[in-house]
Amino acid sequence: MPPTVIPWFIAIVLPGWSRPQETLTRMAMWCMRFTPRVHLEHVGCTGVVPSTPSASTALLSSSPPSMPTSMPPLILLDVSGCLRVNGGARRVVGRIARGLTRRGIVHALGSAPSSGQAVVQAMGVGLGYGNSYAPHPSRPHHPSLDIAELEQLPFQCLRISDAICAALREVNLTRIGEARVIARSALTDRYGPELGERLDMAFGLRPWPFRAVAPPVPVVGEFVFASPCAQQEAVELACIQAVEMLCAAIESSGDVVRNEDGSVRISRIGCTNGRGVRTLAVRVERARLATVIGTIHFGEATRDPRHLWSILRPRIQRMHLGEHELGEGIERILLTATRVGRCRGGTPFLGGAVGMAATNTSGSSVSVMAGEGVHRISIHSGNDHHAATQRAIGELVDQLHARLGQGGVRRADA
Amino acid sequence: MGYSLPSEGTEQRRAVRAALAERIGTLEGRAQAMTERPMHIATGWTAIDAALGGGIARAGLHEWWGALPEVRAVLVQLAWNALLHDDRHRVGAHRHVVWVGRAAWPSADALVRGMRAPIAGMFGQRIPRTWPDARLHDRSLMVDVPAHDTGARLWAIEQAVRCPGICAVIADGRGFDLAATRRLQLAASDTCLLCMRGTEHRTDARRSVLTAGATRWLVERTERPTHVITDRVPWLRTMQERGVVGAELISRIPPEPTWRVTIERSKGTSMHISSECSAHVAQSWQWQGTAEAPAPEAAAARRRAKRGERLIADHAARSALELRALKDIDNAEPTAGAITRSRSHDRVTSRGTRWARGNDGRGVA
Repeated sequence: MPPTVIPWFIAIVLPGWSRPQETLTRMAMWCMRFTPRVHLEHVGCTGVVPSTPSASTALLSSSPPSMPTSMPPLILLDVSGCLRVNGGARRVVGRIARGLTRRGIVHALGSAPSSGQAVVQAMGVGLGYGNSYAPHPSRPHHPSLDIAELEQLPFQCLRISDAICAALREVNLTRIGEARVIARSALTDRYGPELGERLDMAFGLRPWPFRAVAPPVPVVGEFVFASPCAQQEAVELACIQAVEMLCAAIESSGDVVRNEDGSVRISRIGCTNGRGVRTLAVRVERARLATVIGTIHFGEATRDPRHLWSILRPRIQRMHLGEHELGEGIERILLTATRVGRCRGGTPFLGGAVGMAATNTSGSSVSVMAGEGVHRISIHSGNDHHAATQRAIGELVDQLHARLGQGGVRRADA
Repeated sequence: MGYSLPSEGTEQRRAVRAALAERIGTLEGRAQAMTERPMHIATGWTAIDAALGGGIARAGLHEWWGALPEVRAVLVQLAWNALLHDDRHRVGAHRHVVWVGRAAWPSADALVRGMRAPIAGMFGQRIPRTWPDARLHDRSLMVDVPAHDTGARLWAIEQAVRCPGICAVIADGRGFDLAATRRLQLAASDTCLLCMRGTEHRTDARRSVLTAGATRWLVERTERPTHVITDRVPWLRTMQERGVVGAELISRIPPEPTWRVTIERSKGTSMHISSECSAHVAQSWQWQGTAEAPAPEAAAARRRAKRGERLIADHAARSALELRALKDIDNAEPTAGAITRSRSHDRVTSRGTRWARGNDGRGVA
């Protein structure tokens, strides 16, 4: 029996959006933590193309249906198959709402088993209809609307052009439910196919146009053998090269740290915003043998090839490389930084006169009573103590995790 | 064959020489800083500190014999001393303490110092306000190694000892042989390694165990007289002196746990102690808090101070305005029909706002 995937969609409508397009794209990237399929629809973006009106429509011949300029941007998440891993739709909606609120973004959410229904719900909430975030005994904190509530929503919730809305208003049609009872052919003849399509989408009979946003380019280090290799030393050398390529790729991907609106965050004087690997996905493809896949989580972001190799080495050494005579061996080593974090910064180590000056001005010189008398302690390399300690402890924790398992190191319970 | 001008070569050489001199100076500075750093951590036990020339060695392997709960209780105090010593001499480094092996893990409340400090100053004793100190709690790493896997335990201890971000390691060292202790002694070049060796199987068996540790210690539980608790609780002492509390009642107070710590062997120091040198240890760290308030308290105090300054400034500005207004009223000619009021009729609210009262005595907004 094939596994059942429950279709579920979450729509995010951003009323009053005034930030640049790059920020919207970054938000779509942020949403990829819940699902890989994210659709973006914006006035300035051609994420969705409404269906072409029929040529016989006199009303729309002069003004083709287009997104009105007042239409808020839409982010549609296809979370089908991702609900269980994220703890359910309600939990995902809650996390999205918290994340957007924390970033000061005004938003409206819709969550439904069909994409069009989710969009219409979100639009309705954004326009102030049926704000279901109010506590309700049957649906606590769940922004879904039922069919009766959907029928009471205005036509703007269908994200159709202003011209069609105005034309509907001329014949005293203001609610979705009022158009739903009219024969579909009559609606198509007068207003074009777009209205009927959107009505079908709103009630789950047709999917909302969906064009998934391309995920960001992964940071990888790769080594491909010309032929299967089963020699331990060669595999280790190849792995070292892949690690160095990965570190170089991280370094070249840019050390800038960006704010939520896409602007570059200015670092402190003398500090670097270096980026490093937090989670590393390892994929080793073997000829005539199963592919080895693993994930390594690091205690601190690092891009030190020596440390990465020290963690990776025992795993590579434990791996069965195969028999060369049987045609077995390693074909490809792929390291992907699935999660990249900021390395612990701080003032870099300063030597010489500059370091002395920095040390003296930062007040690191302390008088200490020890032994026979008072000693003046001058810590020359004391400019970056905390960051260096954090890095060292991160490496220690990684080493202990690699041998003792994830439960091998823990902090004291509060 | 090309050649360079002599001046260019000289400048290059000079630059290289300057860079090298700077680098050597940096290295020498670091080395000097390392040598200037005191080599001993004061234990707080006077007899032992005097015998060891300032305290336990900052780097090296120290072996502790005795029942594990007793040794653990003493080593918590030494871990505190090591952490405070490191904070004093490596400002801002925030180095950590590692506890290797479940037998070495302390309870969480033992990692917070000064929990009794607030009541130390009660009833008239002039003691400055202190706060509980949770630095050891925040900077402790607990390492869990598989039971009976001595090799994994030894490896974990060595990794922790070699880590530059660790100032002290407290480890379960039961069953280590001479080679293992030698390995740890070599690794602990900049870290204080306190190794719990457990209880000896027969009397004085510890003396025949071959080891490369720098010192060997013995911890035993002792019972001190009950009335000692009155030293730490001034109100109880006062009531005892006044005769309000009798000796019978005081005898029912459970005594504070105390231990006798004996250093039996010390090599590598200038004194080469071979005779016994013992000291009593009490849980005095429970009374020693930190003078630094926790961050929320400090922030609240800052907010209070700012608010006070703002209120004072507002009050001064308002008073100046009112004085100016009064002067204007005095200078102006009296108008017919105006309500004459004096400032004594005004009501000052708790927020300092002055609400004018009408003639009927009710406030006028």
